[in-house]
Amino acid sequence: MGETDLYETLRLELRRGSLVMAVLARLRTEQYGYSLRVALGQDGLEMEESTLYPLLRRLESQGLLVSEWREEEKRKKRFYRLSDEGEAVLTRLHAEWRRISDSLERIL
Amino acid sequence: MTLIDQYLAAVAAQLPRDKREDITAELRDALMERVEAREEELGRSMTEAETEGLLREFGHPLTVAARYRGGAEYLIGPELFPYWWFAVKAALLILGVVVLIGAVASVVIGEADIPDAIADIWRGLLNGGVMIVGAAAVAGFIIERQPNKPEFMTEWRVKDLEVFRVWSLNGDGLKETLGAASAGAAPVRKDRKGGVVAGALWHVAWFGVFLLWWVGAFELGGLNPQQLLAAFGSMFPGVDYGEALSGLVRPLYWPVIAYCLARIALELVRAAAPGAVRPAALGDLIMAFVGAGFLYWIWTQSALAPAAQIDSLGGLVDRTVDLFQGRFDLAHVLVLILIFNAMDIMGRVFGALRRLSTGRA
Repeated sequence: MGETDLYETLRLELRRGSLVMAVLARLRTEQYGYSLRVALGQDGLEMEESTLYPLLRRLESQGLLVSEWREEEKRKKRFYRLSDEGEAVLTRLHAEWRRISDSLERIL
Repeated sequence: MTLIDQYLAAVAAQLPRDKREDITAELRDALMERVEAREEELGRSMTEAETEGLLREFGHPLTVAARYRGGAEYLIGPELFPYWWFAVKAALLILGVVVLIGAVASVVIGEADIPDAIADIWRGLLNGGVMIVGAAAVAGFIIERQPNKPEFMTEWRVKDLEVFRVWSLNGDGLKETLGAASAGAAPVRKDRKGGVVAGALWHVAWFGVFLLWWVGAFELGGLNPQQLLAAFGSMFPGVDYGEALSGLVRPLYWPVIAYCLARIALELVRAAAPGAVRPAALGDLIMAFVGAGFLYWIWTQSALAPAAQIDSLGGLVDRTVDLFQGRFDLAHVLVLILIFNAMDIMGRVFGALRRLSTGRA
């Protein structure tokens, strides 16, 4: 495996966990899939639909998100938002994130 | 039907029925959003080629649908893989040894010349190897999808680990094993029996390879069970027992398959739950009685019964003495094989009864 490939593999591993936090944090405000993807893109976190939509389903099945179908702009859309349980988990994840980040800053 | 409809139908076909409609409705919305955004950029409708490109960017239907499916997305996951790989390497090693011995034996007894024996080795390794890897993949697939991990992954004991050092199945492990044996250090055999799980897995591999040979998945030195027994029976001076021995295969074919499968199942249960000593001991006891049944049949009912009969203890001693004096015929060898097997069965019965009563392995 070349250095570039290795870097890409490690980068994806690093990103995977952070994206879940980003999705949870963005869904403090209700969004549907496409608008969430656009919002994350504007935040500098590009995410493929084929990753984002299954992730939303998984987080919902885990009780961290709630969703409902509603019509908007003449089309039915599924809107997601953070559940109370999701808020609690996100708070803990954020604290852990800060702890890891501080540790890494000291080491790096 | 538009390209998007065709695409979504392909995704839907891969999804669980109860979630199909919901997921495809959401994906349709996502795709339409992208189409509208792109068309706004272009200032015109998208062409068919452009739509196809967009769908390609979205992902192949198989990949997209797979991400919605819960559970393992792999045949054998990273946690199980080291166990699986170890078992496959051990079984392939046993196969290699068995095939090699078979080939050498077929040359020694004059059934094959050296080029034929080499060809048989390759054929045996290839056929048997494919069967072993295939069977192991099926077993791994099933274990991977169980709700709970098997006990050999979670409840392992330190004394079971010795087998992984001795059987590290790489150059260093082999050198260490050979070095220890030649230096007269702690006997490998004792190490190998160090743990219940290790012993059980060893038996699984052994009975698995034997079963594959018995059903004809590969041949030993170019010989199937019938041919091997016939050749064995014909190599002794005096009466030719080749036909009588090879004739055992037919009536024993299905009973031996059933026995091997039952034994493999018993050993797998033992490996998965090493703490369940009494149920496994009960299984051992049953298998020992089944083994005794085989022995009884060969001794009294089979075509070999007349050759295996012993009139008295004195007759047995005489036959044994004859054997050591070089009067070597199949009847003598057969009697000794049967006696050793009977002793082995008695040992297994006593061992099983002890484990059954004490509950200790």
